[in-house]
Amino acid sequence: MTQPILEIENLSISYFTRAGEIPAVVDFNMVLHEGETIGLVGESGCGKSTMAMAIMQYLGSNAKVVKGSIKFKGQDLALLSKEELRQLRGNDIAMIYQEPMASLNPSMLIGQQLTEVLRCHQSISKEQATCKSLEMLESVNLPDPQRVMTSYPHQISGGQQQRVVIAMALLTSPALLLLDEPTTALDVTVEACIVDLIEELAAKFNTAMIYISHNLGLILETCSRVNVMYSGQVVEVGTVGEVFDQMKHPYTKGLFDCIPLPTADKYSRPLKPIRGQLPLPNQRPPGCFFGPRCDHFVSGTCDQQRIEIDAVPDQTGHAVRCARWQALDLTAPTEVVAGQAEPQQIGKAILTVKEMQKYYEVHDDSLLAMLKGDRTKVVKANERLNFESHAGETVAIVGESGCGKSTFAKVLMGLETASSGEVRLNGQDIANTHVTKRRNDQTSAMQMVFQNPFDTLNPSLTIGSQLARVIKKFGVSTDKKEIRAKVLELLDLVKLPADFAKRKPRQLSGGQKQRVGIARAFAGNPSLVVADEPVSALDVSVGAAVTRLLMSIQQEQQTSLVFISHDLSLVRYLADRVVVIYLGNIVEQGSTEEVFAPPYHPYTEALISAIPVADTAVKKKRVFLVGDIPSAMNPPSGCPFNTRCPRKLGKICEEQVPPLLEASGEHRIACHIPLQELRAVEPVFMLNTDPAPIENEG
Amino acid sequence: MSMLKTTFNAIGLLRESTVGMIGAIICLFWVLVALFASVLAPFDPVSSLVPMQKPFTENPAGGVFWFGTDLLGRDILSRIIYGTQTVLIYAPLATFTAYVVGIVMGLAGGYYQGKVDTFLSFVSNVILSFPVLVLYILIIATIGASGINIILAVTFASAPGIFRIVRGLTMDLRNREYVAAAQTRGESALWIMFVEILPNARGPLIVDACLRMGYVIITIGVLGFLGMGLPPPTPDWGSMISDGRKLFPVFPHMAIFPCIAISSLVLGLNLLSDGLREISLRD
Repeated sequence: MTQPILEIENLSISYFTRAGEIPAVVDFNMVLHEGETIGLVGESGCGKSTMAMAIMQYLGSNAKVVKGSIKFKGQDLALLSKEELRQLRGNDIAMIYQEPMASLNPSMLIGQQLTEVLRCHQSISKEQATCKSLEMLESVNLPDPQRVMTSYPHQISGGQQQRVVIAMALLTSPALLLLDEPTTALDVTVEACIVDLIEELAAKFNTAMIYISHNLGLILETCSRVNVMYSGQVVEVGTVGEVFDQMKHPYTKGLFDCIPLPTADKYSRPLKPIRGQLPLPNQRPPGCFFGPRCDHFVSGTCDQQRIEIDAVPDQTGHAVRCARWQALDLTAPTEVVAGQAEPQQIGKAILTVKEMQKYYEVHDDSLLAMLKGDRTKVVKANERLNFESHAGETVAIVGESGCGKSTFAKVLMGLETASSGEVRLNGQDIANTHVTKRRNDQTSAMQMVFQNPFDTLNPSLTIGSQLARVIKKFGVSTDKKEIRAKVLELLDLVKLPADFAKRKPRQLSGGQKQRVGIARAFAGNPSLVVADEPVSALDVSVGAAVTRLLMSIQQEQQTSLVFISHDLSLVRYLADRVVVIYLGNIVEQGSTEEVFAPPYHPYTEALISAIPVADTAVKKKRVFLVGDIPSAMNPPSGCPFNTRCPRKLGKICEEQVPPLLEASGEHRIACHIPLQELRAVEPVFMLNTDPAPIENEG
Repeated sequence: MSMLKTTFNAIGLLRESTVGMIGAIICLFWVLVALFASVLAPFDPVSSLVPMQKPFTENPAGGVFWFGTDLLGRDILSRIIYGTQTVLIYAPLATFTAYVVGIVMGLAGGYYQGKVDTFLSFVSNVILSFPVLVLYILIIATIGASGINIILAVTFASAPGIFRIVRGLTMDLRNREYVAAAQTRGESALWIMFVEILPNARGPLIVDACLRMGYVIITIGVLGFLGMGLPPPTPDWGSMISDGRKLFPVFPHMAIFPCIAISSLVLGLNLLSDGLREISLRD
């Protein structure tokens, strides 16, 4: 066997803070060979990024390797001098970060930044460097590399930026590439393309890769082996097949139970969140770190001495850190707890949106625009939106960033008024009433759950006073004692202890803050709640719990829920009906089953195929979208999707607005392609037992 | 109760910054001097006791002129001690009013943006385009020298600077989701500005207020020095320096002690604000 690229042995890293030594990574082992991709998966705070930084020898000044070694091609990295490390970084080991815009220097041309890497590490002429950079940009499938070379980072889209970052990392043909959540900041369709590109490049350049992610679906698509980390320890390691299909650690099992699969809904496979929360690094329990959250915890066995990682016989390389793994069978399907979610009676229409339009006028104050004489440009954020939402029903609004989802939410909430059309809430038209002019019962009838848990609560006020304010504002109660009682009731509703009322938001974790956000939205007994990506910023186990909570409150109170999201697996799980928006236009809407099965709108098809699926039994058809979403300031004529559509018919798509095809009563698709043809399209997801699906469509 | 607790927490935090602690001790020293001026001052600050004396001269009527006496025979130590009261009443008051005006302007400009902001920004830019000293002299020369007018002048000259800080902070904070949450439940603009935005801007504002108070103390000194401060015989550090300036080469004691007083108090405030900034950056 050849020498491995990377060998990590018994590595332990600690942070030294005012509170003392905090172990961040404990006993980490890894061997990575040429051309191999290993995944590192776990929730935030599990030590993934610390590992990446340790490999780069780029730990903060308060972090120290307390034990073990990292060997790169047999060389101990800790023994290298600063100068040697400088030569190594970027040349032999490259890293790709989460935020592409932050990895590129905004004041330098992309060409300069690319050639700089080469000229820094290799004695190479300027012309050669340019030539090589161009080649590399071409191999990351960037259209028009010449133009990209002479652009500044802000002039290209996020997906293109990440391609440039990947190109930059690969320029020097590194032996090892670290990818730290490289697609988290990108849209799903872009993510699918980037993941595909990474796979393709890994094969082409034979680079060894470490792929860090919290998304099990992405790990399945990119990696051959996977390390599952929890609280600084690897709890399970093995090939993707072993870990995904024959998991031995309860945490791994817990992670899988937390993520919605696009092949199942809330009735057939309800999410099962992991209870409790990640222990703080200085408050880890004795024995198994996962013990307090584990369903299979046995006191005396699990909470005594440290649990060592144990190899699974017959499966080389599959190992698990659990005292009771031999006694557990985790591959059995999780029991469905009855009564968790039952199909709801759909009530009367709460929200009716009719032909709603929202145009923004943007004033261009540049000298050029003044000379030309056209100083106002119109941004068509929403174009003819039509849909209904009923009591007890969840309607998901789906689309990529920039599709007009957030504008729509703003109009609903009354922060903006519609340009034309109707928005009826409980029968009253509120499209043109700004929130300050709405009656109290109109504002309390529709409330919102926001996206960012760290931003959703006022950091200066206690949780209790923020909830009390809502209760008072909506006139639910005016009596002090009654308000107090109602605050405690609300906290109880979102399953938070009563003493949280006295706490400030900074004393709460992300998931807890989001629960308070939900409590706030439900304080005025709303008939409609708009949730704008409520769990996208949360860890999977926390997100699952919040999703479940939101769902159960909604069912209990028969609230209509408008769920804005780009996460289609969650939408598939949660929603009763789906509205797909592209560039402000509804391209498809219908019940969840209808939208997720043929006939698809070509855009929906691409969106669905972009979902990373963490299930080895599912075979996925892949549809890639080329290009970027056009600007809403200058949308394409005819069908808005015609510039990226893989099934474009021809001229007709560019010239005529597509007709609304009625696939069934509620299921409508806006497309020129005849319905029979759309019906004939094979479904995106198939079980592996099915005949081989067609790959790389479009 | 909770106020007390917050204060204790703040002091506890300040202990972690040596610089801030030194600054706080200097400021506390001057506050105590101002509070107990009547106990600490050995003589009456306004009555002429003897012809001018150098430091450490004994008063024939008993006691010692530790810092000497001035041209009118008034005890310099007592005048400095009572002068602390002048400074520590007018400087915080003037800073406070400047902050009230600056905050209201900044919140309005940052929250409403558009025309309101354009107007307010224009006004503050006009004010800021004058050299500060010229502005003070102009104002005081027009409306006359008195305690209230000092406060007015300082407010007029400092509010635009505060406006800019508050406006910037507001523009950032108004995009937070908790502000959107307040908007969607129909809160009034005033509520949003003063309850949802202002408390969350307090960190940088407190640091700036300490720093600005130091400038105001210098300003009051300068006004006194130019004869535009409080009317005599009120003990005022600035006018004491001005009085002693002519004889400085021969009798430096008349000017040097008030100079030390001003610089130490300003230094104390600057160190305190440095310390506060250090602590706020750490978290």
